[in-house]
Amino acid sequence: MKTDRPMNASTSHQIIRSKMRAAATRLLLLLLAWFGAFFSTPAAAELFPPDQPYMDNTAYAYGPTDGLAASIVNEKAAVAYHQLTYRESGRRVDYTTTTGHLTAADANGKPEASMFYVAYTAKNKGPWPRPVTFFYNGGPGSSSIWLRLGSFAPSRVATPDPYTTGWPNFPLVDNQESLIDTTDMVFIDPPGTGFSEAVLPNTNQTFWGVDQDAGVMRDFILRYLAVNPRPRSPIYLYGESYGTPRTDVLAPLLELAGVHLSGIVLQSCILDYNDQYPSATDLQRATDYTVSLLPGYAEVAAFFKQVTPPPAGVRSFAWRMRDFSTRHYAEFLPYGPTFLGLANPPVFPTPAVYAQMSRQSDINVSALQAYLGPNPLNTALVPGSTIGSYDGRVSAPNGSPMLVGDSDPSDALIATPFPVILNQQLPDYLKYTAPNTTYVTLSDTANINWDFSHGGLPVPDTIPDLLAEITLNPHIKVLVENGYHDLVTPFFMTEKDLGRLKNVAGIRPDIQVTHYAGGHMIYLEDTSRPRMKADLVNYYEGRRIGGAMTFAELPAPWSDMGPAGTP
Amino acid sequence: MKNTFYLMIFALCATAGLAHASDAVASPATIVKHGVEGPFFPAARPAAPAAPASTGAALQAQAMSRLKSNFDAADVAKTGTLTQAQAQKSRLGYVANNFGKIDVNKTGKVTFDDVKHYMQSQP
Repeated sequence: MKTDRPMNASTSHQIIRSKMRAAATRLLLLLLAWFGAFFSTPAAAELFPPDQPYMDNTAYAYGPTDGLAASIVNEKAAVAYHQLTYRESGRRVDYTTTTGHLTAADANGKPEASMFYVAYTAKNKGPWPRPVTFFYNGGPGSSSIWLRLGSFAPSRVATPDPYTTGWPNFPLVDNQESLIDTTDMVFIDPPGTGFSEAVLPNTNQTFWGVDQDAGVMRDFILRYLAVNPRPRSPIYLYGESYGTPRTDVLAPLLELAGVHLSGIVLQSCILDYNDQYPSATDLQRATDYTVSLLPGYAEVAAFFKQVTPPPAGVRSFAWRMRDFSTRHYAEFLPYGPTFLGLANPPVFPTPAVYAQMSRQSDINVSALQAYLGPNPLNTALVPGSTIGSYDGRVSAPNGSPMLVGDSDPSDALIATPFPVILNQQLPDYLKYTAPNTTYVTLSDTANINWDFSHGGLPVPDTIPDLLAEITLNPHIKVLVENGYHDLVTPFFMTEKDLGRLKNVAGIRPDIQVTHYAGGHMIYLEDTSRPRMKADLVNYYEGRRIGGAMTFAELPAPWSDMGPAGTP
Repeated sequence: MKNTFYLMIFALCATAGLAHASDAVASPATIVKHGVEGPFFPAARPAAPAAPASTGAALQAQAMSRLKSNFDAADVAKTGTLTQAQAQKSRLGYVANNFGKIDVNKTGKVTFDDVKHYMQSQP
């Protein structure tokens, strides 16, 4: 029994042991304090200041000739306090949302636009300054709703992508893949979208062009950093779709303005518009497009079991299809213009050609016919159904309510539910209300009136802009994310575009290219979002991303592959 | 009769689907109305084929000309040079902040070539 021992019979061993115990306790306390510093304790919740809701009575307007009088512009914002618990680690992050407007102004301080943003920020608990990342979607004319409600913010809309079960009622959930543990996030709506409007004498139209847009986005970011100084924070840009050419143009503008960027993330790229929208007589680019989309289309065909034998995995199959597209480029030459709807009369492969292509690629003849035949692939691949363009795996039977007013079920998948959630989230969670206006998720007016010219071409080629950024900042970390099943911005086209940088003398760009099962909005897919998160954390922390394609592994561009693009 | 009606509806829906789908993927010749974020294209295709996509030295020259256009825009008097103050008030903090290192001849003015040399000397 313990009491057998006299209370005062302390031996040197016991003293040492008790000292060790005390030391251990101190160490434990220290560790707890250290952990506490990184992982907030529940008691902290009670220390939250009260939310500061904001009712913005401004009647923002979004037409081409609309602009706010400078006298009514303000920089007010709603502030709210939240917490996110990562279930797997138990780690909790307390964060703040700031929702409102900042005024982008030119170098002389003249206001350009009152721009709406939602910022998610957390106190820095680690030894290094927290990064801040600016997010925006594309269009042009799109607000940032898709990235903000779908990707890495602390709450997201849970979709069943690539399926449609439960549509259109999807819940808003805590985002276990949020980047709030890694970076602050600021989601920006360009003028004429979201709640953003130009300031007179500018009008929304003033900023509806490739260069004009990049200029006002730069000026917003400068304003954000002036109001929220981040002198030591690494600064990142994250753009999706048209957001990728926007980033290419914006990055060197920021760099020239004295904002040193740590990295840019290009998700679902359209880096050179000329690839996708060539002149009607540009037969080579028509063929380039046809073979560049083929590997992504083949992944979709495999999803619908139209590849025989079935591929072992999306990754290895993508390599085989890149190889097939490249080797057999010349065989596609007769069909490229037809594929883009530019041939008169159209030219279709003969049954013998289909059979040969099928032998070479393992893609079933039916799927090749859907690709190169007279009917659009969206309705031809799966009889009786329409497949998506944003995500080719999303399908709906013809006659489905998903196809009412929308020919792309992967578009309908988010187009209907996200704005509904937004209207609840703005007042309930962000504490922001704007009773005299309506949030513009997508402005068709903006994209119809957009000035696409850039760098002396009618549509933008932004690979030179990307190289300008690399020239200004040779250490910029470039991460390029692709969805294998994205039929809108094909991954192989993006790799070919980036391949143009390969024979530029004297550069060693830090480019990593990642690929995931998924469509244009890769993050919707529940198996890919955790992988994207893990890859992004590695990227932010300066580590190589396992399995990413390196700069050296990029393919040679079509334009360097001999006369008329033939290999 | 009823069946025929449904068939007609089905055919109409399918046709609508075809037309839109072909806009989205096969030929973005007209503005796509349905996509939440495009990418959207101008109404008319470029009139003439663009030159083959640039690579190597040609690409490098284009990148440099993109940068030069920002310098030229700031050089409103078209003197071919910028002072530190001009750079500062033209969103060229990169030039203003590194002015001492770019202005190797200490003239108080820098040319785009000076900026280029500075850029290319960065490790």
